[in-house]
Amino acid sequence: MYEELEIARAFVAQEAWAYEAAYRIHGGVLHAAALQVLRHDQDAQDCVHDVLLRLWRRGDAFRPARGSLRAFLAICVRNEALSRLRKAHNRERIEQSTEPVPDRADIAGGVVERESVRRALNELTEKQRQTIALAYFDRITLDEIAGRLGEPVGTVKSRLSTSLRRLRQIFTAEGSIDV
Amino acid sequence: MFDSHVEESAELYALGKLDELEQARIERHVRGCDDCARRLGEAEATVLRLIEAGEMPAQSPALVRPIRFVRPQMSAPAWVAAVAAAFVIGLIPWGIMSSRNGTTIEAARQQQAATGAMLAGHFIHAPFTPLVPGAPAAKVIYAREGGWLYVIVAPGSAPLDVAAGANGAPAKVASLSASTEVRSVFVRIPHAEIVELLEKRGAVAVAHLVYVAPKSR
Repeated sequence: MYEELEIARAFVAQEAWAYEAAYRIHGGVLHAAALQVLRHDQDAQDCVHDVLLRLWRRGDAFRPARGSLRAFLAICVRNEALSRLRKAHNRERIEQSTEPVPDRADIAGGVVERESVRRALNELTEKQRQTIALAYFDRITLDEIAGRLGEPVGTVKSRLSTSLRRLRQIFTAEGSIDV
Repeated sequence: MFDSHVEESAELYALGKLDELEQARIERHVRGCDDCARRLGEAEATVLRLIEAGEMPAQSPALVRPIRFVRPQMSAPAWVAAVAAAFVIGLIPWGIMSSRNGTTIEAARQQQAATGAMLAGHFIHAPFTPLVPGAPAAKVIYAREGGWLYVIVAPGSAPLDVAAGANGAPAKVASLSASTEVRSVFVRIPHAEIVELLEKRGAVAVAHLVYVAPKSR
């Protein structure tokens, strides 16, 4: 934990070693975050590199109040990957890609993590589970989710918020996430 | 509005459901608001858990538990409910609805086998490349580690054979009737590397399959 705090401090201070350390320690999960969206190894690597460099150069993007540098970086990478996916050219290329997505067992605790997430999802209501599945795993837009479920976008937004907070409660209760 | 707290947008941000303008607003806001930064950080940490769990899309048992597979003895309302539930989760191509009375049972068996296989493991897909003008659009979904194929073909007036195999020597494994609606067939076969659609014994489209693990010889 000390190491993460130290890296976070140095990352914000734009110290060169922190960029290297963040890449070395969090590169695996960042690559996974991009690859799960882009489905293309080189595109995923480019995405991670671009985001990490951009955040490091900005310096003030991360604040300790936000909590985990790892989570912050992972979400930034995933959001950038989603943004790139929305570009029509990339979408066409990615949908035609036959490149298999590597097994995420190379990320710490892969199988255990999967089981933990499965258990947590099972504790959601059916509606919550369905909405999270469409939003996170199917990666479709809020409008598309609302269309599929036949519900107003506002309802979908509220349920996503509630569902994610409920997942956090479950992960916290089982000790698999820091409070 | 510009300075409003992030509230439920924190979770939407972490799930990647905000447009770039709204994302930028959230990022600006949390730089000056510890409470919102904390809430956003919690949402990010939760989504990180999903990322670390890796690929667990619709085939997760947790996500498909509401699905009840189509069985011939099902009543009509149950059949409709089961298929509708599967559609919502995106497991069943819309074209599966093409099955008509005479082929409903076989179509249901095919559907059950295909969705069951998808639920049990990881899968990927490959497009068919047309070899002749007018070849029907088609895709093949297949087990990432080998073992089965699920071929989905656009409507067409010509019956087709499906051939699959390795080392450039595909053999016929299934047939698809002419149909005005999407056709599909599920085939159990180990590590096919090439799948062809044949019309009157001539290949009209081909798909090359790539596997994660090397096949055992």
